[in-house]
Amino acid sequence: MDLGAVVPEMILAALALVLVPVAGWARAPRWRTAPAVLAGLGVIAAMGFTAPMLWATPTEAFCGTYAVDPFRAAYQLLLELGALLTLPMLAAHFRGHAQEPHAPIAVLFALVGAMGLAASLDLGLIVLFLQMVSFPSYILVVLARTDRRAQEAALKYFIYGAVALAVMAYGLTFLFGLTGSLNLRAIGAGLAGADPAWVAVALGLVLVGYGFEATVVPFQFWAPDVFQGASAPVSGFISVVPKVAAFAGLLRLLLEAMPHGLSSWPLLLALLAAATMSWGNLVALRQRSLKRMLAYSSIAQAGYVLMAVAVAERAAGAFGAVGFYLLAYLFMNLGAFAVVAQVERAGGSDSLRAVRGLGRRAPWPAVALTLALLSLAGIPPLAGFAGKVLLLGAAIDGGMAWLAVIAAINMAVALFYYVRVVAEMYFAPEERATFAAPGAGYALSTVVATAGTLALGILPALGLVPIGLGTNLLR
Amino acid sequence: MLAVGGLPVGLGHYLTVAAILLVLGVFGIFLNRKNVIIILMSIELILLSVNLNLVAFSAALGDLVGQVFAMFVLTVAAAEAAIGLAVVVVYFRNRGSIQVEDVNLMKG
Amino acid sequence: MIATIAFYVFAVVLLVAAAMVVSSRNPVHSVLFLILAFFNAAGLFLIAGAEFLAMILMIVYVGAVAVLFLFVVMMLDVNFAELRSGFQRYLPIGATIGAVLFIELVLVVGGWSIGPLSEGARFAPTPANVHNTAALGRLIYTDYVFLFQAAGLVLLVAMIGAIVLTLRERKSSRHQIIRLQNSRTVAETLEMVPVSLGANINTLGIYRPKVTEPEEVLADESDSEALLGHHGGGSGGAGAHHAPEVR
Repeated sequence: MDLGAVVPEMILAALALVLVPVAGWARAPRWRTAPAVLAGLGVIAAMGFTAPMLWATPTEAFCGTYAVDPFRAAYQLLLELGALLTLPMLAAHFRGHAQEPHAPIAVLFALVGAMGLAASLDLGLIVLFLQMVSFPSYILVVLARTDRRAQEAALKYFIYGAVALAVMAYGLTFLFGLTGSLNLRAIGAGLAGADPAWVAVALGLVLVGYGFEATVVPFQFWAPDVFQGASAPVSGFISVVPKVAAFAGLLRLLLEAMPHGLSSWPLLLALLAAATMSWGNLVALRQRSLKRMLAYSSIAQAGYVLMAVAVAERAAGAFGAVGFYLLAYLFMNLGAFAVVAQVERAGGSDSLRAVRGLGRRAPWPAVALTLALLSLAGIPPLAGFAGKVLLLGAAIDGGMAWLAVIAAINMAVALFYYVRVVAEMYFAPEERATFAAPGAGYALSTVVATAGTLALGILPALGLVPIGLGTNLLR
Repeated sequence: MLAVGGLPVGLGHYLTVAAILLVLGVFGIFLNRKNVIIILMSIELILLSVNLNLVAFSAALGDLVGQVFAMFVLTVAAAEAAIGLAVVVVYFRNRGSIQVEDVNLMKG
Repeated sequence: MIATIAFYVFAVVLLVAAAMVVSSRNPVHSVLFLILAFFNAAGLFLIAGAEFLAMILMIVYVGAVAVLFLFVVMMLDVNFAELRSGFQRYLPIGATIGAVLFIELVLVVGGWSIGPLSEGARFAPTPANVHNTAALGRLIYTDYVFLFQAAGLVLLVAMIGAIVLTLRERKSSRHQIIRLQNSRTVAETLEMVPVSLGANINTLGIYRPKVTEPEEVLADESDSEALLGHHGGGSGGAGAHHAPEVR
């Protein structure tokens, strides 16, 4: 049986289904955290079953629809790590809320979808798993149902998402029509003799869906509103898990179904990457809301990653650079959102003024936020620096030095808005005297994320070794 | 007797109908920026055009896989309608309105 | 020949109905036109030999999805005339985008040709002597069983999600707590009261049994949501319909 290929997914899906009635029973305040704890344990168990696949010989399961290869294992581990880091702060955020037991279930379902996307070899599965990532994400945004901003955010997220994924499905039909197959590798073989104009149309339409999930310009319009409207832990989750899944899916699609730069996708992606990082950084400069600023920052970060995706076939190190940067991004971005969540919970606002004087009021969260932001900006010796060096090296290796120059200019510009927040924390006069320390869940997420940011910066090999194994893709 | 496993008209005819349907769906989203329910129906139209494409390709290629794919797209469309309408209901309960243009608490 | 005519009839009605869906003044009409569009799309599916999908489209779409739309349109007491006001304003931009998209698609659709490899790469050739439903079933439950399971999970997620989003627990609703019912003893429910001969209600008074309300009645959801909802908003209660918009 092929069921051995999907043990991690089965664990998570079964746990999520079991938690649905458990969430209904766990009404007493002291039982309300039980689903979150169980979900965390389940994710750890799933990671235990995913990790051995890093050394597997690439093969396929379920009649060629699902991959078992180290690439899948590496990205699934990334996604599980992202969910694991989100769960404590999500639980802390929803503490005492009627929907508290439901939040971990949504996270688990989204995780199953994201993990599936990293391993799908079939167009039908790609459509299904993209939706399975998106549905729980919409629900997470609007779970606190009386919050007006969250409702707006969910509605926008849903409309943009549904349209993007429908248009993407339309593009996928052309891949089927050109080759008569739903299998990515069969498509890759069939497309070689197909009309290049058609391939370009299909690729363009497919990029709409992945571009939406990964917040690539021009499909990024939902991100700022949704990140600002959703609560900070949820924003952290949707800035990491769907994005990593989209990059995994995109890499697999490009390398398996469109090998050898078919219809010159490297150039197209390079242009999109340049537009994405420039737009994200320029607009981030004038943001006054922390969550909105982090939204634009995460758009810019997607641009950096896309730069290496564009040269994935040309440069030897590009594949590993994408994975390593996504790992670093996961730690630093979730670290930043975990602190913003605490600030928001304590002060009721996520504006830039809310962190004024945070360095004196709450030294430890301030240090964590500083490290996360400096890492996002690419200051050594943090994870973001190592990642950015790898990305730029890959772009130059792949013969896209112009893109590396644009990226370097962008990184310099980005320094300004990251450092502004740090300056606000340490050098501005404080406005509020108190900072009520919120729940332990925030602290847990913050500590782990910060530790990851530091460890990957000082010892990049910690991330490079598993990611390096994960460059082994089924072809 | 209808042709089975083939198309009575050219494949291009089917693709054109699907393309027009897609355009109408996209058009409807821009046209009804305020009315979420019509936007949801426009999304259903886009997914219908996806299915039309798949069925046409499936018949023209003589390959049944397209119909299998169409079935899953149909599943997705039904699920999407359910989630979308639930979000709209939640939105309406608090505001007494389903105008998307109201969606302007956040700007920047 | 008949099939060709049928194709054109179905196609034209489908497109006209779709145009009415997006341009109709009344959303109820829109839903009805959507149903018409689905019917005609099912006709097109039939012509292409996809019988099973055609029937599914009727049953699932017309029977469930369109009715769901109708329910929501009627349930939400929306002032639809007001919603139309932006129509003229967006017409130019909508028309431009639609026209550009359409021209692009027609340009490429005109030149469609099936790739040279596609004949060989055919994964599941349509079997000759089996009808459509059986042939689909053979594929779905063998090669595509994993997709089938994933589709089931997607539907389940959507169902749970829709329920979680819309279910409201009211304080006023009365729940049956079976554990409490079963643990009642005769001593609690039945009390023997000695009644002297000839006593009437004036001398005895009205006897009321002791009733203890169970303490497991949950806190109203809106109370706990107030912890998080720092942006005001309604209580999610029935009053929201009549509350004036706060801007």
